[in-house]
Amino acid sequence: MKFRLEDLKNYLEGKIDVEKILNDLNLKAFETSYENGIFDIDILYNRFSDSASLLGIAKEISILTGLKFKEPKFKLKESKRKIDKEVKVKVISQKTPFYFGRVILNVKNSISPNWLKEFLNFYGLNSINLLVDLSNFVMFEYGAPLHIFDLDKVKDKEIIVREAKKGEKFISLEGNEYELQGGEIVIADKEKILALAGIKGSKLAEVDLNTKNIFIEAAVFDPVSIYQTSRKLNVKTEASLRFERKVNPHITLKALDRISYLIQKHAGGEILKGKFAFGKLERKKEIKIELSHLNKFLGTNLKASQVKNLLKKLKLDFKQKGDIFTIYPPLERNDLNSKEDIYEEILRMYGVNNVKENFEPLLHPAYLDENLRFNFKLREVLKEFGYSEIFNYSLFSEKEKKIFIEILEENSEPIEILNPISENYKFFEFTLLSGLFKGLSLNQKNFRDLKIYRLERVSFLKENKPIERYSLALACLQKEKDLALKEIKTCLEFLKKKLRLKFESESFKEKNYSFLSLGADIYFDNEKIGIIGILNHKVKNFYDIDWEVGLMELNLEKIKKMSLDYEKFVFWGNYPEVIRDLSFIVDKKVNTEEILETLKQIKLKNLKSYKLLDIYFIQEDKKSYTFRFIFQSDERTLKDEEVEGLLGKIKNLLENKFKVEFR
Amino acid sequence: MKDWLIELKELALKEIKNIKSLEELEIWRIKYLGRKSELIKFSERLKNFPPEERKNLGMIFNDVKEELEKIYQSKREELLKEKVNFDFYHPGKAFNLPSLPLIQSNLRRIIDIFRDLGFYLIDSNYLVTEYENFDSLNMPPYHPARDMWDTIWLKKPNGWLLRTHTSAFQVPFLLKYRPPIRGIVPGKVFRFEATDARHDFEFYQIEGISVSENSNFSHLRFIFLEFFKRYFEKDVKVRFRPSYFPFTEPSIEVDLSCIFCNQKGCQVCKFSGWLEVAGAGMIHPHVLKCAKIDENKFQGYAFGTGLERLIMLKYEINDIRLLHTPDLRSNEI
Repeated sequence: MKFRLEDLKNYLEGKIDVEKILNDLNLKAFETSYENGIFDIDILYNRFSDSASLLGIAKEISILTGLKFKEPKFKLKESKRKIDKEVKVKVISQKTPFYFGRVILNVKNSISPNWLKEFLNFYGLNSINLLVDLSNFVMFEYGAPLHIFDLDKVKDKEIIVREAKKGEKFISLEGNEYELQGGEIVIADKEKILALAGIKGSKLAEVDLNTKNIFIEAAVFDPVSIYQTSRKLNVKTEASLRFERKVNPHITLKALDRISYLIQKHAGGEILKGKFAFGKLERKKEIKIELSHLNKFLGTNLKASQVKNLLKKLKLDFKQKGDIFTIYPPLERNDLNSKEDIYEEILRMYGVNNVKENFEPLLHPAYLDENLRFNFKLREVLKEFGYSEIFNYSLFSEKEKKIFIEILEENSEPIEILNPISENYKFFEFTLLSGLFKGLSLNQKNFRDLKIYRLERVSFLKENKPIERYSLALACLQKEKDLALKEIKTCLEFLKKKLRLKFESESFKEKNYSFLSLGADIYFDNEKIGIIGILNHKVKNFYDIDWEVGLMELNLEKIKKMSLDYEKFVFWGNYPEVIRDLSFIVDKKVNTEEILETLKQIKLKNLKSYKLLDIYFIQEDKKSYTFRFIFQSDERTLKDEEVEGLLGKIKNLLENKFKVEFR
Repeated sequence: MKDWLIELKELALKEIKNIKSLEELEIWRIKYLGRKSELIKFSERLKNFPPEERKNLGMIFNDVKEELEKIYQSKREELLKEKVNFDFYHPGKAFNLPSLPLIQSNLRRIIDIFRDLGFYLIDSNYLVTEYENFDSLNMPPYHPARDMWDTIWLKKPNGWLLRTHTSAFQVPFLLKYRPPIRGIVPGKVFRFEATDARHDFEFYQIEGISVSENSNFSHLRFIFLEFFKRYFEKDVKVRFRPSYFPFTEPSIEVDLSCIFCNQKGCQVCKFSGWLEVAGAGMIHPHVLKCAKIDENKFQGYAFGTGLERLIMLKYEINDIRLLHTPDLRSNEI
């Protein structure tokens, strides 16, 4: 909020040192800048009620710098006629804790003098007429919004503070019509709504140049209600901003007298005796603090005498009994309610930067979260294998959602955003692939042999509950389809090895994903842990990718459970290994899983291990396999005949079961 | 015989001069120094000469042999040397280095620093409830302070949102790990915000929390000093300013001495010498209550800082969007 130094000067006595004010405000109260006689002060939310005003800031400056605070002095001249003879006020709304009012008769309204016009212009309001302008002047002076009604426009001079019914109409000062949804606080008479409380007046009770008799409202409305109404109707005013941040009733009361005085001074009239007052004011606040706790809380070593001095500087009333202080905060401060609030006051007065740094002793050994630790490991492992991570956003568009919808688990649906920033960010991603492909597209011109990945949280609704878990998506670019698939398959094997994944069985179940030319679900121990495949032409075009894309996405929640940090050491043996490669041709219909299952059944002493080296398709209906068998004994060097014998058994088995033809 | 030896030597020396390869040199060696060479054969014949002559010839023979061997060695070395033809300015092979986004590499660094300072590393969700993001942090519905965090809401379930700050995990964190506990919660947060050079709708924060019987305000300064010193690898100063957050009391804003100009004044710090880098404070009793912690026994501090801001300062990057692109050129090797 901006304040003119010339305005603040009216409430301060002594020699003004702008540099000091600026420095003290910044380090002890609010972030402030100064230029050409104008302070720009970022008033904190909790201090808005007492500080967002000329008096408030002047008082703060006085406390911080020692300049003397000069409160406006005035004497109200009330007539003998009593207020309740002229006006009736009924407060029905529960959302109105305080409602005060005064009546002035026979005022003479006019246009405002230039100084007032300029004043309001600086603080961001237009000049309306003298009465309205004075009320706004007091709002900036005291920080309490006031509203003036033309009493002659109020039916039967009866003011009712109530809540609106659904469908009621309100016509603003500008003539805009609003339909109310019910529950909004309104100021009304028997027939019509006179004001949308705390936000805007109505044309129907507007103060104009002919206005003679007025009712001045000074109220405190429920901040939540004002906030809701202001957002619902999309009307924000200087008053609503203040009511939202809680207005202080003690300040409001003072402002009511101040405006009455100023109106009489500038526009004449008769101030009726007394004021209407609804709501019970707090008499005294009391907060006890103990020196030892204060020091424990702040990590300071303050002495009772220091605290005493600081409280004095803060102009807080208090009683001291040894190390115990009872503080009576000013009723005008909404923000001082607990001992922590007082600690804050003492701290800022002492100087937040005067508290010496202290190393807090260890509370416990430091641990890394298991998931995050695993993610770090993955990042290291993938880097080793030549994969780079890319950043992308966690939100994506309807189109992207549609392309990958088949990836969603059963009974799941995507998470949709209620108020998306744009069409591009309408859903929370349930797969990392789309963001990954955007990365491929962007990087393909600058980098050859792209190998990239994303490791992020994905999310979806399962049985209407939001589920979140980590996912890993990898992709590589190759010129040929089979190379792309081989590259990504290599990565899976690399991960199995590096992460020491432990499972009994692995299977690839081919599935027709509409975004893939060829793809499969990966199962470890009959549990789906991810998908692998190659992107089809259509989707490649969508992302504008030139080469072939091998891709894989893994469910890290499951992968992590299978991963071991270390394995027991295995000795390679004292006697030489004998290696035999076996190649054979078999009907295309035989599937690899069956062959692997069959080999698994073989229990031969001295067959140490075997692995599949190669599969390729020969004619239309045949494929060729090459397996490598490794034989080794723990007791001696194996003889050729022995090995041939073992190999023969394997051959027999394959021959009988699959009618294979050895090459 | 003496002349013969000399002539043989002259001939050998003459021939070796024209030799250009190791193969030729090997032929030369066999011819003049090999077991079946005339020179070696001559040594066998030496014993047939009378004693004086034998002595004399022997000496000459040794001289010749030594000289030829020497020249052979030096020629060999010369030939070996000539085989290597390489300019050390020649570049090595081309390679692609795998890389990490700056966000990830820096997050790792920051987590390590905090671990060394005794902080747990805690993982947390992106999707949270309104209660976690606001109410538990002393911001009831329609609290204007909520406006500081423009929110992206989920269509369903009702009341769920993309967390606007990592503080949303303060209460769940404290409910899960009971005091005494000190931890950091790093991660992505989301705001309903237009994108420009300094703002984006997704970005990273690092939240720190410490709750024990004695976690106090004086510890905050130490943490910031130590953290910034280690992260920026520079001697830095830290300045606090009073501030307001609904979930801390007292609250402060944290400034770092400008790392560009050493407080001499520059564009980055707008000639103030200070850079605003974090918010912090003592945890509000409301938050402790929500976490079912006895506020009379325990107290604590919390702080939060934006990761991108730190990276932008450290690497001198002036647009946050350069950190939020999948472009590998913005990655760190």
